[in-house]
Amino acid sequence: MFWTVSCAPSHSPRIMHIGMGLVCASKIKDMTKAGFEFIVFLADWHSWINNKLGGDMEKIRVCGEYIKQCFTALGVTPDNVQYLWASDITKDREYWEKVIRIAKSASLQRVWRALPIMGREMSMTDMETAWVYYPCMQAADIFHMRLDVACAGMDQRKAHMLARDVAEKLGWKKPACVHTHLLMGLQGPETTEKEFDENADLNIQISSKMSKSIPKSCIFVHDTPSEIKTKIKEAYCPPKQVKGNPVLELAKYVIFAERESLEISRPAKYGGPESFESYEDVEKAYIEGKIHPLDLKNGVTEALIEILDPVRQHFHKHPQLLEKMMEIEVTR
Amino acid sequence: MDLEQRISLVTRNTEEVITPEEICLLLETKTKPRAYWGFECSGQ
Repeated sequence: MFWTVSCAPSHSPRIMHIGMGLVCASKIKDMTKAGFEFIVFLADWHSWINNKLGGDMEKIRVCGEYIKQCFTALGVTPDNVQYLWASDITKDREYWEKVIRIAKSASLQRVWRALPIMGREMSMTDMETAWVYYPCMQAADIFHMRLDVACAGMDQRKAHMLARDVAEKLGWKKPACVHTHLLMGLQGPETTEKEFDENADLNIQISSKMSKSIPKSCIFVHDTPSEIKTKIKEAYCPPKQVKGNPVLELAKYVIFAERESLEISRPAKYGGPESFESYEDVEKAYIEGKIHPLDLKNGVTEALIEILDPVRQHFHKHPQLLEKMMEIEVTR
Repeated sequence: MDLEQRISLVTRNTEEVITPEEICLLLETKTKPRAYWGFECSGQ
């Protein structure tokens, strides 16, 4: 499954969370700076297969436009990347030929395993046959768009491995892959009975990822400064501990992905304000107890409020699409 | 920008790159390599 954008019912817009918004936007900007021609692929057909927004294509398209605007506000602009809908390529007969060729060269078990979230413990009668198309289409997308590199979060790696396997079998160009960390929810690591992946560490990463279904665990790209403050204030942040610390993760994967430094405004008796030039320096000081969890939280909060400011500005000036999204949320 | 800087941009903050050799070769040999990220447009 692709990374999903969620709409949680609320009075304020809470649709795209920063795990998706910022981690992806930063990596996409890295790729274009490195000289890549980059496609942001709005997977409307895939959303339909996955029964998103009631499988209503009109709503799905509104949500796709919304994603485009959020990314544009975060600096992933149409001048730098191409925005392409799945609908743009599903109209080609050759696309569907690729889907079938992929389906013919992989076992049903192999394709099924490339669906990471849909429970493997589900009964056959509850499964839709259409789901099997999903990973085959994900692989076909890569070949049809003649891509050299597929980027995604770690929960997508199996679909990419499927693409690499079938590429070898069919003599097609094998895509290289860049997989990013899944940002942990603010509540900290979650253990789970569910099996998303055979790898135990990755299983915890997937089950702990920032999720719209737990709004407090999740910072949305539209959150107001005071919402961001409250959420980070309540976040899990064990002193001197790096593993399983969601606030340090924000510093590493969000703040330093976008900026060169992090300002920690410590009280004078604990050393006074300090500017850290790298994540490694922050981590070292945190382990040594030179940065208190509260000071880390304040520094991360301030930086995040600034980084998300363009999104608030954009939708303040252009509220129409957001209003449409809100309607979709309300009528859900 | 030199090759090393470009490779470091692609790989920084990633969990996994498959394979680093393929990325390196790609950046060395292709002027405008093509990449993508796919997003579902969804409610819940």
